[in-house]
This record gives sequence, C-alpha cells and structure tokens, in this order.
Amino acid sequence: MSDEPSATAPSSLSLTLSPQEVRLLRALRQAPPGTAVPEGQAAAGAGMGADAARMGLERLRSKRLTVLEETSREHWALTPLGKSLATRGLPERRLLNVLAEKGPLSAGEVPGAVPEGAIAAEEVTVAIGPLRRQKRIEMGEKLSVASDTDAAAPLELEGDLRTMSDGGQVTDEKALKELQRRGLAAKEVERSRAWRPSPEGMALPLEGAEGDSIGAITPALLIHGGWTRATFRPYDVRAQVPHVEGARRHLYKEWLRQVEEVLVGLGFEEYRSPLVELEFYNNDLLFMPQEHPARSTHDMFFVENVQGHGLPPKLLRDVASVHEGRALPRQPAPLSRGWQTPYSEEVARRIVLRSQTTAATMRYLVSRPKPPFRMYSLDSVFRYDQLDATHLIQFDQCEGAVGKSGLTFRHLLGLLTQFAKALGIQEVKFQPTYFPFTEPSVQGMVRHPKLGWVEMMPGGMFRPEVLRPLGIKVPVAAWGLGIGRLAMVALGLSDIRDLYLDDRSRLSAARV
Amino acid sequence: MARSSLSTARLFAILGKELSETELREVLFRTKVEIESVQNGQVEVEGNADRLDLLDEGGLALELQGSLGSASGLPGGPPGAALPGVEARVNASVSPLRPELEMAVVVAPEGSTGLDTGTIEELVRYQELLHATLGRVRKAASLGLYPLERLEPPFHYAMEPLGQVRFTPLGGSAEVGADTFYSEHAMAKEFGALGRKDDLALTLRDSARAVLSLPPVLNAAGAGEVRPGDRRVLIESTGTRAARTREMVGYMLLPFAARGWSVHPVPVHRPDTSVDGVEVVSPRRLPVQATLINRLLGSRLTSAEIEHALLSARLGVERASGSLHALVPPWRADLLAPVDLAEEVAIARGFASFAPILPPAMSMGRRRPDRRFEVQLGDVLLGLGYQELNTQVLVSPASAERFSEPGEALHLSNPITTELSCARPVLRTSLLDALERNTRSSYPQRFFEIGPVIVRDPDADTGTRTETHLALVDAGELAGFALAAGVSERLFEVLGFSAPREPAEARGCVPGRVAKLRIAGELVGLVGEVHPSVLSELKVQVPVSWVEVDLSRLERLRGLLPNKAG
Repeated sequence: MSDEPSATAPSSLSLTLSPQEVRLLRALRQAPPGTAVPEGQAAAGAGMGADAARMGLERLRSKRLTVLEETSREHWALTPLGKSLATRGLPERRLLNVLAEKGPLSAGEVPGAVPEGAIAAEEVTVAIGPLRRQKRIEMGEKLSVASDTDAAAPLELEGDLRTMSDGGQVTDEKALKELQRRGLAAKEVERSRAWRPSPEGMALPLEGAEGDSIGAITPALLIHGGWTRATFRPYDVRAQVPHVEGARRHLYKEWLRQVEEVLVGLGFEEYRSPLVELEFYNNDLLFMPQEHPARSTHDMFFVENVQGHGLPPKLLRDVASVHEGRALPRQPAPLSRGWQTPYSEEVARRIVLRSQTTAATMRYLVSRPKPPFRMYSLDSVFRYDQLDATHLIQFDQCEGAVGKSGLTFRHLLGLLTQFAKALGIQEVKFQPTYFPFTEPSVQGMVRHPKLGWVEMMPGGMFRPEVLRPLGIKVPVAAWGLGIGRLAMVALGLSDIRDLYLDDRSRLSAARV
Repeated sequence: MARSSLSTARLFAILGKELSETELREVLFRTKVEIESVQNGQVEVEGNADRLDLLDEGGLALELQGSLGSASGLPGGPPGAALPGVEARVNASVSPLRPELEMAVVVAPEGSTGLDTGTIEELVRYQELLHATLGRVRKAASLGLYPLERLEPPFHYAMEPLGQVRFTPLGGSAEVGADTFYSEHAMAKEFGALGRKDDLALTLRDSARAVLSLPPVLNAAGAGEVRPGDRRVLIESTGTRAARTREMVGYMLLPFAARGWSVHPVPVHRPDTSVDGVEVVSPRRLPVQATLINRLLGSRLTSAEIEHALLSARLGVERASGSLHALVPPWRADLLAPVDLAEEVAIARGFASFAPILPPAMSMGRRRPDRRFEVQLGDVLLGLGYQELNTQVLVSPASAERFSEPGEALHLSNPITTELSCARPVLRTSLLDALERNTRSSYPQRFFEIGPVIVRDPDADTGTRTETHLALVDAGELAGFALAAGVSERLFEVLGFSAPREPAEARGCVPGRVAKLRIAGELVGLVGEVHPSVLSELKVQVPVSWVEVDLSRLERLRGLLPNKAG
C-alpha cells in the first residue's frame, strides 16, 4: 500500500454522493451555466429544508463539486424600538394628539390624562424637545398646541419611520442620522449565499448515482433486511472526522500509583497521617530546635483558631528533655547537649500544614511498629514558597522508613540505590548533607539526561534523640523524596504546575 | 542553606597552595559545602545550616587542608591564659532585655603585621552571616569586634538612661546623643527594639567610660572600630540565649585561629556569679565510641583509623587511660553527641568508601486497607466517562464557602495569596473550580477525583481530621439530580452496598434536589444539583450535578458487605 493519495477520477467520485447531494447538484445544474443559484432556491429545487440543503452543499463543496458565492450589502433597518414606535406612533405624535384633544396640560399631568400606557412620563420628556424645535407646541405654565399650527400635520421622522416599516428605503442622510441617534434605526449587513457547480460538478455523471446506495446503516435496514437489496456507498476515508475526547486517569496520579507498586513490591507498607499537623509531630519529635528558622512563618503555614491538644504526656516530657539536653528517666547521662534553649509546650501544640512527610513517619513510630518494618507514605506537604514553574506550595513527598536490628548507613545507601533503580534511574551518588533529625545525613543525587546531577533523595539514620523518646530500640533509616520533581523528569514536564493540570483537552490528549 | 562569597587569594593563602576550580569542586563534593561559581577571584559557596564554619575563608581552608591531607587536627595550640585585667562586668540592669554576655580575645602571632583591609572585610562579612543565621537576625545573639590595644579594660555592660549616653556611631563623624541615635539612625530603626527599652539603652563601655557600642545595634567609631594593623581584638557577644552567645564567640574565633592567632578567655563577672570564660574558647570533649561508629556506618574501622579520620575532620583527639575523646573546637557547635562523630568519620573517609548493601526484606508490602476501594471506584468512573483530576487542597475563601457554611473551612494565618488561603472542607468545590477553568471546552464535561479534605474535629489532637473523599461532577445539558443519583447508585451497586437516598439541604444547591446517602444509618455521602447562582458566578452555562462520598467511612462499613461468593 502507498501512503500517496490516489488520483480520483470524477466518475468514481459520484459513488461518494448521497442521494440528497445528487439532488442538490442536479438543481444547481439546471440554472444557466455560470449562474449561481441562491441557497434557498437550491433547497427548494432539491426538495429539502434550508439546514439540510446548506449542509449538503457544504459537503459538495468539500468534494470540490460546488462553488459558493457570498455577497454582502449594507442597508438601514429599523431596530426593535423603531419597529414598535412605527406601530404606536412617535412619542411627540402621541403627546401632540393628547394636547390637541385635552387642551393645555403640565408635563406631569399628561400620562394621567390618557388611558394607562398610552404615553409614559419619560416619553413626555423625550417628546417635548422635538415638538418645541418644530414649533408645534408652546410652553407656558402648561404645554399647549402652538396656536398657528394644525396638530394633524406630519411631524419630522414620521414619514421616514413609516417608509422603513413598509420595507422602503430612506435616502435622507439627516433623517437617518436622527433615527440612529434615537435608537430607532441601525445599519445592517445582509449576506446572501448562492451556489454554482464547479467544472467537476458540471462534468460529473449523475445517472444512477441515487439508486439504493446506503450511507449510515440504520436499525431499520437491519430489522427489515433492506440492506440485502442495497449497495453500500463507500466513504471518503481520508475525510476529516469528529475529534473524540475520552476520560483518562490523571497522568501524575497514574505515575504515583506505579511508584507505589514499586514500594509495595519492595516490601513497604503504606501509612498516612493528617495533612494538618501538630508542630510536635511535624518538628519537635524530629529534634528540630523550636527556634529553627524552618519553623518560622516564612517557611510553614499556620492554621487560624485551632488549638492542638492530647499530646502523650510521657512522650512530651521526654522530647522536652532531649531538646533541653537533659537525661531521660533511668538514663545516667543526656543523649546530647540538646539545643540548650527552653522547650515550649505551647509551640508543640501549634497547628500547621504538614511541611514534611517525616511527620507521618513520626506518627508511625509513635504507634510502636514491631521490627523489622518498612513503611512508606506518599502524600502532600506544604511549604511557604513562591509559585513558579519549579515551585509549588503544595507538593508530594515519598517518605520511606526501614527499622531493623543491625541496620546501618550502608543499608540506607543500598535502599536508596535500589529504589532509584526500581524507578528506572541507573546512576546515583551520595553527598553529605544536614537534617537535625538524622546522623549521618545523606543527599542522593541522580543523573538526569538533560539536567545533569540532580539532588532528589535526601535521607539519613534517625538520631538517638529522635528514637529514644519513641522507645524504638532498632536503628531506623529514613528518606523523603521530592517525588514531584522525579515525576517531571519521568513525564517529560517542564512546569511543575502541570502535575495539577485540570485542562480537559490537554489531559485527554496526554501521552499514555 | 546559607551562602558566602570568599576571596580565592585569601583562601589559598591560608590553605598554603592553589587549587583549580575542578580540584576545588572534587574535594568539596565530599563535604557539606558546594561551589556555586568561581569567577573574578571569588568563590561562591553554599553550605548546610549546621556547618557555618565552612562558610568562612579560614574554616573552608581548614576543611580543605584536612581533605587534602596537608594538615590535621585542631589549628594552633591550646587556648592561652586570660590577659591581665581584661575582663567584663555585667550590670543587673541588663537582665530584662538582653542578659547574656560572653567575650574572648585573639592575639596575632609574633612577627605578624596584624589585620589587613581584606581580612577586616571578611571578618565583617562573616559576622553578618552569623547575625543572620545563628543569631536569628541578632535577636538571640549578636557580635562585636573591638581594638583591644586602644581600650581600657575592664569592660562594663549595662542599661543606661538615653540622656547619659553620647557616642559617634560607626561610619559617622559627629557625636550624637543616644536618644537622637535611636530616633534617627537606620540601624536603630532596624534593630532598636533589641537594645532599648523605654528611656534606657544597652551600653558597652571600657573603664575610661568610652562607649564601645550600643549592643546589639551599632559599634562606636574609634573604640568600636578595628583597623588595619590591629594585633589584639576583643570579641564580644550579647544575647538572650546563653548557648547562642557562647557559640557566636566560638564561631568568630575561627577566622583568627585559622590564621594562626592565639585565643584567650575573658572572665565575666555577673551580679550573681563569675566565670573565667575558659569554656567559651576551649575545645569540648566528646567520647569516641568505636563500636557505636562502626555499628552505625556498617564498617569495621580500627580505633587508629577512626582517630585518623577525626583528625582529618580538623577535630582534636585525646587519648587518656585507654579511652579516646574527640576535642571539638568552639566553631563546631553542630557536634552534639558521640553519634555525630560517626558522620565526621564517614565524611573524612568519603561516602563513596561505604559500599551500599541491601538489608534482607523481611516484610510484606501493602497499601492501606482503606484505599481498597479507590482503584475499583476509579475504574468504574472512567468507564462512565469521568476524567480523573488531581487538584490542590488549598483553595480560595469563595471556593471553600461555595458548598460549606462560613467557619467550616480552616483558614491559614499566613497565606501567600488569598487564592490559596483555605483548606477545602469538601472535594466537589475543587471540581467546580476545574469546571470554571474549562468553560471554553465543549460539553458534556465529567470529572472525578479521589483526594483529601480537611474537616474540623474537636476530639482529634489536631482539632481537625483529614478525610479521603471521592467526588464527581457532571456538567452538560443532561446533568441534573437524577443523573447524579443514578451514578451514585451505580457506584454503590458495584461495591455491593445499598445506600438509600433521603431528602437533605446543602449550601450552593437547588433546594429539594439534594439527598443524603446512608449505609446502615451512617452518612457516607451526598448527591445534589448545583444552584444556578453558583454556576452563574463561575460562568458555567450548563446544569451541574455532583456526588461526594467519604471513602474512609466506606472502609469502616466493609464488614457489612455480603460475601462475594455468597
């Protein structure tokens, strides 16, 4: 097969015409050669409604069998207000008639002197100006018909309004401008469409083209067996077809599910914790100093009018001890110098939007899981950041923690390498970094084909100051990946906001 | 992360050799600092918050010496003795505002010409870096450097009436009263609240009554001004946190110690006690626990190898009666406990020397039980033509109150923008936001999402509860209560539940066209038709109906499900 379009002879084209199209073409061909037939006339000639005829003629045009000739003409026409006043009479006519009939009246008295609705107060106001200008009324204390005039004589614009209402044309430019100013007339463009056959349309043999050829297969054809006597009209298979959009999984959520499958495959159990969190779980348990800059209003989101409560008393006491560098109960010496600043329970009870999924790990460890354990939490965190192509204030982290007797720093490096490989990343290297809650701490860097080495896998071994108050007696390795960045690499996105894309067309068109 | 721009010429002068940019990058990759750029004789470095020492030229030079093996252990000798008469007295009046004071003295080595202009610039830069980081913008602690040779110790730290204090502010030429200074000077406008209370101000004077500085705002010209050629410098820190003032002095010793200056304590006499100041300038002892280090790192290092690594990390080592101690210099406040020495050893030997290994997998992986319905329901909705969305939890107040009463949604006290200032209490409002953004697209539009919402819950420790909801919306000529109710029936039918509808009312919906969905008496969801007033605000010109289900509750009701096989 060739991809080249095959040359189509006019004779074979006839097979692509529907019976309606044949009738329309025939109607056009009856006019003298070169003469375009108005669209309405073509419809009547083919015995079709206006809409169906237009669609048929357009289809014929797409097959290059007809030519459309569009003309447009500008003309003056009455507005709806103009049409209404042509029937009811101009306000000045009605006012003059009232004054002629009832005698002098003040402007306020006019509406009440006639049947309701005959002339409104604002119409009286509109009418006074033209009547005075045309010297048809006099204004003293009351309005009255000018003494030397005949009330029945025509007023300006009256004749023009009537002419236009009767379908005639007004040529007096001054009158037209006045009608336009008063919103009674406006310029309109009248378009007319006429059709003639193209040379191919003239030459095309039409005999027998109507016959029994079938376009759409209908239930009736199938039920009554009509199809057995018919021929099927071939379609132009290259013709443009309607665009089909369909429902899809969200591209980022789908990718996150694949990450979860990897984690579950590696033996990790899912854990989730609240998005709105106590600073105790978000920071204090992690041995983050209460005066740490990352705990300020410039780094975390604080929640209004909600107070935390119910902190486990013993845990709170022990966390306060390690922060202040005091020994835990039944311990001969402090675990470390601590932060040597007073620990505040009030700070611990403050409510924030979770800034790190390590808070989920803390909740998990508070539940005293039985070692060995492997947990993950793939969930949202919130950071105070400017919004741009690479930063969002809500983004996802993939937290992992492994607890096991004999677990070492080398195991942490092994787990990070294994996870990266499971996500399709082959090259990983490790650099020292700092987190208040891990020792040693590590930054896993992965090789990106375009960006080079990218920091993506921060982790570490939890410090004794974190594990001892929790009563965890085995070493715990943990990490928290910025999974959104990794998704951008995997999905080929350059704007992190696309992870939250809600444009229906783009979502539907996204690559599988 | 903090940044410093350092002079390569001075860095290499302390290091004792020059390095190419490639060599610098290679060596520093193994440390907690990395190079951002090297140009015009400056190297721009970025470091972790715990290693402020590496953001000083002297500190970075010490680290490079250790990594390259050209020097090890603590720089210089042990601290010298206090200089005769050099001591400080703290007046009780400072207690309410800024009670802490620590001092130290540094002395240039024999034969040195003392400070030069470049070094003074670096000292001021590093001092400001410490103010911004460890000092919490001077609030917790601040620093001052003074020309000891031109001062008359002992020094006095006190609160004095503004009217009694006159001095020439650093950088100025005219003497002013403290009241004028506090009302007019730019530095006083920025930091004034830390050094003044009512009509009293903090002062640091020498015994000749010369004003050294108005802590923590500004030094005086002359008595508070170090100059090229100075060979004895007084370092002072005042603050509200004792630990931070000690650490500030400790870090400020580093640029001098790295250049071979000797360090000396300054005794401080407080109203209730006196200290000799030795602790401020002396290394701390941390026990080296080889077993702990090897157990944490997964290594089998000998005691000698550990000792060597610690010396390379520019710590001191002391062996006494069979036990090994690391000597931690005053500029290493990040080392809190014996466990921290493990990382020092790992960095000194290079992370690359610790081969990754895998722990045996001893656990079964699994998703949370309450997520079991998520994939099933998603598949059903995709089959019905609903596009999945992934929207954010934070929404605008208008969005938060579209379907909920004012006060239901949580508000942030420090939002970045009002558009993202509330946590959504229902999920369907985010789907309506999406409809608003898709009004140019053709209809019908069908969206669904499974995602978190935040509801108030006074019983929970956070005062709130994060629930996982499923919401769907239909927008199009055929949308309406009947369609939404039909879809909800389909969803529950697939799950094997029956959730009868009962009349309800809900904000933002057409009255009489909302229903509660209950299973075994428990409310699991709502279904409704959006009110035209809501749609017209969103410029959505087709009817919209919705379903919202609390999936966490469904999981709790799972026990009511009939057995599939049955």
